[in-house]
Amino acid sequence: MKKISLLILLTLSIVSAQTYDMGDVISEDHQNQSFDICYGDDNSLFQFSELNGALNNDGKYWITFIDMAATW
Amino acid sequence: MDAHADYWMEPEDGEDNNENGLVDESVRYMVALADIGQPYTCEQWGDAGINGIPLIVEDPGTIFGWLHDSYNAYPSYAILDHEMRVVDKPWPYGSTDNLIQSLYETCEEAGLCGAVSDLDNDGLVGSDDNCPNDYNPNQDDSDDDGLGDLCDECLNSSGDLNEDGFINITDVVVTVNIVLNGGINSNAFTECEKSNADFTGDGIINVLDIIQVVNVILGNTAQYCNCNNSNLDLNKISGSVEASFITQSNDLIINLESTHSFSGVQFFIPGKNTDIKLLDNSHINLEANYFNNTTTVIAYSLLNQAFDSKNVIFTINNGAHLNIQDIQIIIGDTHGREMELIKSNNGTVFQNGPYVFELSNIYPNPFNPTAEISFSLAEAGYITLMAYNTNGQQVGTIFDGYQENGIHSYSWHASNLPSGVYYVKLSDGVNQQFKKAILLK
Repeated sequence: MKKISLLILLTLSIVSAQTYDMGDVISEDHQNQSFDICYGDDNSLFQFSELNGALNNDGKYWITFIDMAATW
Repeated sequence: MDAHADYWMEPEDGEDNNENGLVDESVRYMVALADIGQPYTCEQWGDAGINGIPLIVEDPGTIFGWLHDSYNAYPSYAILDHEMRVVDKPWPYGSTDNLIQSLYETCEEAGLCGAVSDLDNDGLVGSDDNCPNDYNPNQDDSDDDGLGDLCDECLNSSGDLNEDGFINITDVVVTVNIVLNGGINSNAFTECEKSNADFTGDGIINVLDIIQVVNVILGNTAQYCNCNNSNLDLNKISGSVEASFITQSNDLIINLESTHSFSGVQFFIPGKNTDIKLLDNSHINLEANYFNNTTTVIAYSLLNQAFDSKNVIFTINNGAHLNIQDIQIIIGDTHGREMELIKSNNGTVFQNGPYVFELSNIYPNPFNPTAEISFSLAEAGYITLMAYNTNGQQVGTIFDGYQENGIHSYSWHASNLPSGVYYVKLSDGVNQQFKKAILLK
C-alpha cells in the first residue's frame, strides 16, 4: 500500500509540474495567464503575452528579465 | 535605483539615452514577488516600489514554479528572449547585461524590438509588414505562412520542388530521390524540397506522392479524369491488396493480389536487400536504394500506367531469411490513393489493414486488483487470453472464445491472487504473444 501511495504521489507531482528549462518557450496558455500588478503599470493585470509582438496589439517584442523574489 | 533596472530603462523617445545601443525601451525588467503579505499587500508594495524596478507583479508561486531550478537558491532570475524562450536562469545573476544586449540586438535587427520603424520604406511597420527588410507594399503571401513571397525562402508549392512555377519531370525525379533516400527524414534535401514533395500533405513522402504528381503533369488529376465518381477523395483508401509471402529456396516471393488496378508499390525492407525482381510489367520502373539500414523499393510508371494485371509478383533474391513482419508495404491505385493491405504467411493472415496480431497493452501496470488488457487481431477466429504465474501455471482465463478482427479490451480481475509477477498470453492457435503484469496489493 505504501508503494502505491508513493507511486500516486510521484505520478501526481509529475502530472502537475510544468517547468521550463533553458531553451523552452513559455506556452501560449501561460503567456495568457494574468497576474496582479502591484506597481508600474496603468493596468491592474499583467500577462507575458503583452511582451510578445505575435500576441499583443502593437506587434512589438520585448526581452524579459524576471527577478523571482521574496522578502526573506 | 537598481543598477540593472536603471540601465535597461529607456524612455520611448527614439533616442539611445543610456548609450547602451537600446533605442526606446524593449527590455522589460520585472519582479515577480512571491510572498505578498510578508509584510505588505500587493497594493502596499505598489506604493513602496522596490528600488525603482519598473514592474512588480504578484506571483502566487506560478512564475517561480515554471522557472525555478531545484539547485538554485531562492530568489532566482530568468531571462526570456523576444520569442518567450528561456535563455538563461542565472543565480547569482552577475553580469547579464551583455546577454540582454545581445538578445535585444538580435530582436532589433529582425525589426521586432526597439523603435518600430519602416526599414524598407514600404509604408508598413511591425507585424503589419510581412517582409520588414524588403520593399513589398503589396504584401503578397501566396502560401499564407505570414512571410511575404519576396523574403520567403520556401513558397510551399506542393509538387513544384524547385519552385520554378512548373510541375514537371524534374520534380518527379527529385521526389523519387527523396523517397529512396529516407523520405521526410532525409538530410540530403532541404526542408522546402521535402515540404513540396509531400504532395498528399500527410507528412510522409512516398510512392503515393509520386503517383499524384505524375497525374498532375499528365492532367490526370481527380478533377479532370473520366472518373465515375466526380467527388473522388484522394485521401480515402480504395480497394484492398492481399500480400502473400512465400519462401522459395533462398528467395522471398511477395505476391500481390488486388481487387482494383494499382500503379505504385513501395517496400521498406530491413537491411541491404536491393536485388529485387519484378515479374513481367516491363513498363514499370523498379528502383531500390539502401539507406540508413533500410532498403526502400519503389515500383511506378512515369505515365502512371497500372500494373499489367491485378496479380503482381516481386522476388527478393536471397531474401528468405527476412522477418516478413518487418517488411512494410504501401500500394497506391492509379489516383495515388493508398489501398488497404492484408498480409498473410502460408495462408495465415497476420495483418489486415491497420490491424495486426498483437497483445498491445496492460493498464495499469502494476495493478490492484483489476487490469485492462487490450489487443488487436488481424483476422476473426477463436482466441485465448490467459494469465500465468512465474512457474508457468495457468492462474486465470481472461477470455476464451470467438473474436472479430480489430482492437479489443478485457478486464482481468485478480483479487484472488497474491502480489507478484504474472504473464498474460494471447494466442490464436498459430501466433502467440506474452506480456508481463505486476499485481501489487
